[in-house]
Amino acid sequence: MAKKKVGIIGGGIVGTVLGYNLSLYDSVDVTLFEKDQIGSGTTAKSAGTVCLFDDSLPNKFWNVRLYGFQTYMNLEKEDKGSAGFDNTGTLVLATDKKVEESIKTGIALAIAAGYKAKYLTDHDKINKILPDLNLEGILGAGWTRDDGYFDSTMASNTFVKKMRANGAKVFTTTKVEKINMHGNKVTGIETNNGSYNFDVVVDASGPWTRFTGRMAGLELPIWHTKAEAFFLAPPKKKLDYIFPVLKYPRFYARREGDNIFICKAHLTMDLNDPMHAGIWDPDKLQPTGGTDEYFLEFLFGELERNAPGLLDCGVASSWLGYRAEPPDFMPILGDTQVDGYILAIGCGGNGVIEAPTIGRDLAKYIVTGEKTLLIEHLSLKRFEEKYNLKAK
Amino acid sequence: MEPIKVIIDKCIGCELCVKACPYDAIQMINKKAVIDIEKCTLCGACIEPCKFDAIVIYKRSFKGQEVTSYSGICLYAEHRNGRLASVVLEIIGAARKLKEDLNEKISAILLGNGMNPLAEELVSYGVDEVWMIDSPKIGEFAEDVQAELVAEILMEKSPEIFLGGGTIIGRSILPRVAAKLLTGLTADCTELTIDSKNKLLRQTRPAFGGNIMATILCENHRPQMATVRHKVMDEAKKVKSGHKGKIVKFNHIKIPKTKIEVLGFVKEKDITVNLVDADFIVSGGRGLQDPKNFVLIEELARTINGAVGASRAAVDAGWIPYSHQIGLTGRTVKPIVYVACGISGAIQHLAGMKSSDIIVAINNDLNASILDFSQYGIIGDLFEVVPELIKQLKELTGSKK
Amino acid sequence: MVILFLLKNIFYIEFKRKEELGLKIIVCIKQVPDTTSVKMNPETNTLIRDGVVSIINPFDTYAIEEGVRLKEKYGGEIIAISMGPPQVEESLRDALSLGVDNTYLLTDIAFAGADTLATGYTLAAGIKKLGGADIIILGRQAMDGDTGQVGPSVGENLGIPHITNVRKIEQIDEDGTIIVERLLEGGYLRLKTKLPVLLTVVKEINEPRLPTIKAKMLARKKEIVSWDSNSLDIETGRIGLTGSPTQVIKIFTPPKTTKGKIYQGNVKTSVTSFLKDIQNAGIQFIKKEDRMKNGTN
Repeated sequence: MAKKKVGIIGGGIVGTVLGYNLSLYDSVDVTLFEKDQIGSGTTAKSAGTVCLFDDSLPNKFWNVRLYGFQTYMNLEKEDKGSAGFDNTGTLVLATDKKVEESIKTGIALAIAAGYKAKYLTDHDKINKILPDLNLEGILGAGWTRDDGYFDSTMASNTFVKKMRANGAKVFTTTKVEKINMHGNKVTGIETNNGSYNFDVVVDASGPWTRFTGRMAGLELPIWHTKAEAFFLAPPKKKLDYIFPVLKYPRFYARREGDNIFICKAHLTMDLNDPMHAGIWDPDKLQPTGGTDEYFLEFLFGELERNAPGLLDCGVASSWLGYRAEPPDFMPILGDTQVDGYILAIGCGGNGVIEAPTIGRDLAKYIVTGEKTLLIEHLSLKRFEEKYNLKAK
Repeated sequence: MEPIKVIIDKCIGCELCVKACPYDAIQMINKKAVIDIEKCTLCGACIEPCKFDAIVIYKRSFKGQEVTSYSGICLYAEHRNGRLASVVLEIIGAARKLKEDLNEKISAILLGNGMNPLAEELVSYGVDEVWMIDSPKIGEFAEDVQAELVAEILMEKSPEIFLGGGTIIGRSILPRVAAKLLTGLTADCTELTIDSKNKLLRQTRPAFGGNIMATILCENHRPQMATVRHKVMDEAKKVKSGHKGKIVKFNHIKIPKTKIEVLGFVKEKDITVNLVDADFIVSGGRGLQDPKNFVLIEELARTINGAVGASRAAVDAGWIPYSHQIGLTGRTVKPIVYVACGISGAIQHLAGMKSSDIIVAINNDLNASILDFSQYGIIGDLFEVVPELIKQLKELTGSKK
Repeated sequence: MVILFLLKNIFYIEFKRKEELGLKIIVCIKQVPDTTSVKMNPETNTLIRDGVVSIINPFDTYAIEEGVRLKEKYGGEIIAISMGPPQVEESLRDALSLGVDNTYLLTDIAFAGADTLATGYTLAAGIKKLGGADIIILGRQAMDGDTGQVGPSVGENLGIPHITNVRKIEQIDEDGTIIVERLLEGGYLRLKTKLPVLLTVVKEINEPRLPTIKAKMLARKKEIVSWDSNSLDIETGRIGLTGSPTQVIKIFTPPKTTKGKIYQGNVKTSVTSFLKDIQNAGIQFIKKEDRMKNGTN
């Protein structure tokens, strides 16, 4: 039997994990196209926090979270550093009853999976972990020493190495310029380095999705939200404690070398606020700089209230990235109105957490036609009524 | 410096200019014309009547000068400790090429004390005229004084082109001179040619961190001035005997007092190389596998007197302090040569070093993305390549001495 | 004699005032595109200016830091001045967040297209309008143009002593004597002069501080004064494009080998041929001190 030919557009974390999973099947011939370098878009600007518990992904998707975490940890086990793991632990602050409940559930799930985690109510103990916090009005904090964050570009490159070892082809600096169709069926793609025939084309182009989809005649319901980050340098140049992944409902932080990476939480972004969301050109993004004034104001307010000690940190660097968010902040996976055009898009602020599960489940679907609950649940169908999905 | 002056040697005291001046700004002192700059309006009425070309005005107008009266290629002969700076030979090399197109003589301005041997040397490399002020009053590092004297000589001799070295001294003196003469100056040129149509000096130099080259003209102002980047142009070879050069002394020019006193020169043997300023950087990444192996990187860096860098992976692994991290979240560097050992070239790292002049990758993976950005890629086990590199480099630098 | 005595007294009073009031420091800064973010359009071979981030010329951040440190040590006032289009305000605001007290922007379409000569003249006119200064500091060169000519040009236009490539300010005395270390190939010079003075500084001089979030917030509330060409005492023929003797006639991309040369196989021969090639490309792997000596040998 002829092998099924699958082309993946996008070499970020989602595309590379999917490519690796497809390369495990003998019946598939997989090729990945990346217009720039592997893991150089949204993936490069991800904080890489895959924590055992926080509010970034609802607890009902616990399996997605756990599988993600374990996948990267397995890479680390095989070859230390291949997922860029930094074992700092995570501290999640309970600012109200609702958050507290969700933290407690998350801790219970983590413990059930064999990890150590606890819920702290003693402010002194919390301050021992992170001295610079102002805990007035804080109910408690979830704490685990078992997780941390990953280097998602490193992980993407590792998956590329593994898929190449399995015989898959990966082309970098290769831009997909056209999606070839016969009637309503995808037949292949054209790139700046030649054309290719495929049975299935997967869109894993992250913030470029809106433009990639139009090549297949689709107007996909994805908006860009701004992911703005500051790198803060502590006044004493070096922290004398391990700065954990720190999560508040409105912002999060982690260490980056001797500095602190700090960012606005993706769920606080309002798709109707032109300051937060829109359709922009990701090609115009620069490696550093480009943050808006409102972000400074936002951070100043948050830090003044929660971590006034950090206000004396210097701003060493900053960047602006775009997250690709569907209206419900959950990814869009699987079939479209176009035959053979499959989506692995809309991971927004959760790509690194979700990619391993998406890659595994979508590969299975492409090869066997078998849909997992996740694929079923997160199909494009859920937007059919409200949005016109046909490109003009 | 004054915008108008009397060349004392040429003035014979004929008083024609005194009669011509509508503003009563010229009087005779000791049978020489002296211009009262407070009264002078630079109208130029005195220039025409003077039969001896003893009065010159530098026109402070940007409508353009009378450019046709300028001729010759002049250069600034920088020297230290009684020896010509090696950049001077490079400039002479460039000037001789220009001479082929322009057919004008090459002159060199030589200022200092005990300059005769250097003047001879300049001639031996093909300089036609050495314009010299030889005086103990000219301090070796008195840039303000030297700039003033250079400007005076240029005003008097009106060369069409004036070149200096892209050295620290050259790049201090020439901007001063350009500001005094109100003419254009192009910094750090890597190529100088003569435009075949209009005979102007085409000055080409890198800009935007070497991303682009720009060719620049100075059409209406003289001299056309440029500093020349060191180590780009070929040094002039000595000309065959028989070349006759002239040494012209400018003893009539008054040497001003410097405003800057030199307290001393401190030699620095071991300049600690800081990562951002380093000309050479050797960086290690995950391919090193073990913190102990950073010794190899350090040894290679020491061999070429470079600095040690690292990728984020190496820093995260705790092999080397964060201060060595190069990349998006570390430092941005732009050395002449960047050697990446065992670094795959993730975008975060590339962002911090991709504007290096030359990137060399040592990697065992032919697919590593760093190779897309490297001018040279040595494929192999870095534990074999790096020691071999150190060995051959040591032989090379050893044999140089 | 009486006059001399009086003069002495006047000078005495002036320096005494200085001691009480501290130094007046002016830092000239330039806004530049972040060259690490400059991309080329491979088809048209032109610079892609779109979305390029503008920053304070990195060399100028050392000038700002040195100015701020002098103020911290001797007291006084530090002013930042820049010439450029209105968006340079952003960079001046960054300067404010680094500790600068007041900022002035020389902005006018008439200033556009200035080369180093016209820029030096214009900045000097701005400094004159500010009443001059005790110390004027600039970065050694701008990252985009790399000329290093504006500093000396401003100094000449002001008619004050100026020193390039300063790596340390050793001391400033009450009588206005200043001693600095000035980088030179192979070492440094110790130089002494009198205020007012203009210095261009190298990266070795300090480690610039970063703006804190707090300082950034405070800087947003400060006023940035803009001056156009009419506000300055200048000859209009000497500013902008008209006042610039040099003109760029051609811009092109240097020929670059996109895919580099690969050495494979025997390690020894790989290394040998690599070293041969890179030396032919004009790179000399010799020790820095030797190279510096060669600079003026």
